[in-house]
Amino acid sequence: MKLTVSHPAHIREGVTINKIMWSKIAILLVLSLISAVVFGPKALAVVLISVLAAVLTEAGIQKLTKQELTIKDGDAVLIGLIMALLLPPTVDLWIPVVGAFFAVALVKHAFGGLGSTLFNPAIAAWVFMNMSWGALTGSESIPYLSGYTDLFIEFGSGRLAEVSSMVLIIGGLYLIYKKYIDWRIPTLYLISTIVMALLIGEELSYVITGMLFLGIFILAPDPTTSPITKKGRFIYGILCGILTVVYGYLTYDYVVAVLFTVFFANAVAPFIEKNTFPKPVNEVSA
Amino acid sequence: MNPVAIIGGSALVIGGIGFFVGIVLIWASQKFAVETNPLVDEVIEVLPGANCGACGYAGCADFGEKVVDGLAQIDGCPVGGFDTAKLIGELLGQEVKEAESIYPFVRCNGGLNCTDNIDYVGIEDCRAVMMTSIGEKGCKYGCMGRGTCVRACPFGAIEIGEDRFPHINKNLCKSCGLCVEVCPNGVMVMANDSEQVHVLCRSHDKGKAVKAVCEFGCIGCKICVKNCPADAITVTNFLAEIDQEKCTNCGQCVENCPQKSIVMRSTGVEAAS
Amino acid sequence: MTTEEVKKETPKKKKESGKQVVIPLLQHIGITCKPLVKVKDEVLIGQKIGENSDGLCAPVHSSIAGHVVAIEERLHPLCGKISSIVIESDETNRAIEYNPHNNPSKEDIINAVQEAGIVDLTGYPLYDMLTTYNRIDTVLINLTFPGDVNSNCAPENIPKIIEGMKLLMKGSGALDGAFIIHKYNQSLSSVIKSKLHDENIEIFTVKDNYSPTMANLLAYEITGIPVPNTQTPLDAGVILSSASGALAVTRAVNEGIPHIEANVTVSGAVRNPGTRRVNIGTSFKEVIQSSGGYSGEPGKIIMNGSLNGTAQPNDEVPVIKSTTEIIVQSTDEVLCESPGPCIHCARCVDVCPVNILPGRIASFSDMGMYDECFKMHVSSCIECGQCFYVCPSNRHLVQLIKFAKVELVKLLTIPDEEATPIPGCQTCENPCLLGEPFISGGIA
Repeated sequence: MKLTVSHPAHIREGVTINKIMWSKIAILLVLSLISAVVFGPKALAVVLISVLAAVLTEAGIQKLTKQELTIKDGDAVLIGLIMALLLPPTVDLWIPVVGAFFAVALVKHAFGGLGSTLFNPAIAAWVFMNMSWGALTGSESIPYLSGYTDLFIEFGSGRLAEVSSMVLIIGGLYLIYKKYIDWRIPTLYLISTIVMALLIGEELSYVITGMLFLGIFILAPDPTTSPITKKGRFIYGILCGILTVVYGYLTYDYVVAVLFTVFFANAVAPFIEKNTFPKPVNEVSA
Repeated sequence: MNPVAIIGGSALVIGGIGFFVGIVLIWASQKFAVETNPLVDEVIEVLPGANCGACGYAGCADFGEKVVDGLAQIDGCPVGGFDTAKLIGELLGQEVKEAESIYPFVRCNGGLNCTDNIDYVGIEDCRAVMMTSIGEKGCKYGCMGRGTCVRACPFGAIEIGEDRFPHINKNLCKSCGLCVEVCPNGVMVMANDSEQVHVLCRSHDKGKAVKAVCEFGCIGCKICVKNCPADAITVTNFLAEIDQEKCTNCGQCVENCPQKSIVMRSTGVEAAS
Repeated sequence: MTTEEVKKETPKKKKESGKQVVIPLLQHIGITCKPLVKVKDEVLIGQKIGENSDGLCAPVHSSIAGHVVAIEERLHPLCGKISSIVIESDETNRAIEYNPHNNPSKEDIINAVQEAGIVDLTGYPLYDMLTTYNRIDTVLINLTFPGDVNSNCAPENIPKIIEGMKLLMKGSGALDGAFIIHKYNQSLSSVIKSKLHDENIEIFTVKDNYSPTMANLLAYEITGIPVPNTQTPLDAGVILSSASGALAVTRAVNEGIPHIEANVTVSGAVRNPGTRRVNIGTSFKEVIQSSGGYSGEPGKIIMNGSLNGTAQPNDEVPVIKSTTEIIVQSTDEVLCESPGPCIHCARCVDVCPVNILPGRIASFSDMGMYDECFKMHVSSCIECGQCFYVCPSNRHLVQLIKFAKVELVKLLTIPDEEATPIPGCQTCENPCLLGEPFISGGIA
């Protein structure tokens, strides 16, 4: 009889990276299917190509650098999926391929792979695509919330992610309930967005889009790129809300506002974190 | 616009920016260069540039400055060895004597031949294994094979093989001694290449206890002492030690050791794995 | 496992006595006892067999009648190998004459507690809590540690625990006393309420389970006085004991019996889990056999709680005074996944009771940047195991943090008297595994 010796704890809660990633993927897949209903099969093709490109890039890089293959943890799939959802259905099919390569190769693996990224790869890739081919990746329509049915299915949406806020809300609440994402960033982001919009006097129908909920529940609370301190996450959420409304107010596009917001917030996350290190409760005050 | 034109155009723009910035940088580096002692630069040039710190200074640049100032020994860089010392000597106009090449090796023959007390689950580090109440291995003197030396080696010269032992690649090893310093059990030792006969055991336990846990451990039977024509072997605390100055590499002890814990090392550079 | 479940599974308790007991001469924080007996000496139940008056030390007593077989280094559940007295039973129940006190004075109580060698769950000798500080305001008894509650808080023990609390209050001169109970443990709090007839003793309910290593946090939670990690609750004028400590005090004072028995709950992969009264020094193997033996292949044996207990190298280790719980995991239950990369999800930050950043410290420790660990307050960690419990990436957070502490001690070369907070402790050169924060003040 040989016993195992390890340090405590000897039991686990059972939440794993795989579970977190694949739950997010499941939610976004539902969203993709609804977008296929709204936009037709072209939307599904964008999603499939983007995911495939992301996965192949990851596999290629890990093969080349002789690392262990980590396709199973779902991170590459998630990157491809999110990136596809940020594009309009009319996009040329080579654009998601280039974008997925950029996201996985340059934003994820060049920085050290899972857990070491500075920017959310999908958003960084979107910013790259938007900067390079703005005309090709721009949307033709901006969603407007004209009634409660638009929360469930939005026919006026320009990008895949905007088709259904409700899927994202239900999915996001599920993620928070299962503790797969932190509650602070989504709550603060939502509250600060609404408060800020009311202060500025903006019509909420423009502010509340499917993309906002994608930002609130998937993009902003992305674990790697958000601060790890509790106070830091409060500030991060508030900052996201303010940036979204300010950018949207100036450009009249609250969809793109969310994406640039998360991109800039990612950039300042380490700074926020560094200035909000907690004080241990049992430390003597020096 | 077709995709080829778009991608080609962007590549051209990015490439152009890179070219322009490169020219500016080259110009700036020459224009704003900081004046230093040219001798220091030359010395740094011949140093290996690994910045391992094995010399005891903050890095190669620091060592170079100190050598030129006369604060550090010319042969103070264990990585570069004699060749580097000779080059520095030429630059500074001093004579250097050649020393023998010296490599680390593991004074343990246990590995898979040694019993395991427990199944260890935790971080891969010998020092961490020692934090458990009793060690992982049955023998508390032996090599634990968890790779503290591997992580300490700045040259990637050490690998844990399938036999759970660190293997030293002599092509990459620069004899800096960091692995010897870091080994928590002290089983990693430095030895001159000409010293061929070694006792691959460090256990001071009694023979019975050694035999219970390890096939190849030294049991202190003193057969080697009786057989040694040069009187180079002594047994203290149930462990044979070889006085390398007296040893003639005759191999009598290797043949007669009942536990096969004394071995003759092969000399020369092993093939790179 | 809740208290109710354990009670249902084992309606009756019976006294076990083993053939051979191994009594370690160190079962407490402090210095090792010197043996008072020699090999082949005959000993009786309750006879004092080890003591050391040079420093902080709780004497040890024989838990069976028989003769001494050996005095040698044996495995200890917490500290590697410790010199121990091995006693073989002669199958009789001859005991020394006990000296009970009917109406004890303060000095009687302190003497009885010291002579009985009572050690609290934290490993701290209880008499020292009564004597070291002049002013003790409050006696707290922590009834939130699941292992302790399962083992010692059976309804028939409650009056003894309350009596122990009163004795501790009298012995220390404290005016207030309080039981701390988890807010979901309504049954226990109602039982205590029904038996409690003293207006100086209150019942507090808290939201979390506090293990013995979290004593400082609990004292802070109840009294509002922050206790730095270099001090103990005693510095805040609080004695923090446990149900097992209170029971032992009652037995020592009212019946004169020293600390030679412990209530141990056996759970997990055994055939007949439940609570048993066990002699100190009985091997885990015998305790598990009396619980019906292993069901299936055992993979891990844990003492005192699966969240922050200690995994045992084999089942020959003896039960010591601070043992309350033995958990057996089958080979399937043992966690052996290899760790992945940190995704900075901050789940460890959310659960950390001392408000540090465990994941970040562990990453620095992994990279060998121990000075950064120190800046991140690594020494505040109480190694409660919560962060490892929630980590989605299987990272060995607690071990990495502990590793950083050990390496820091080597790096910072603290003078010896500051490195060991326990005066005179020369047990081993290893970092203290008794749960004591061994980096004391003075490193800056």
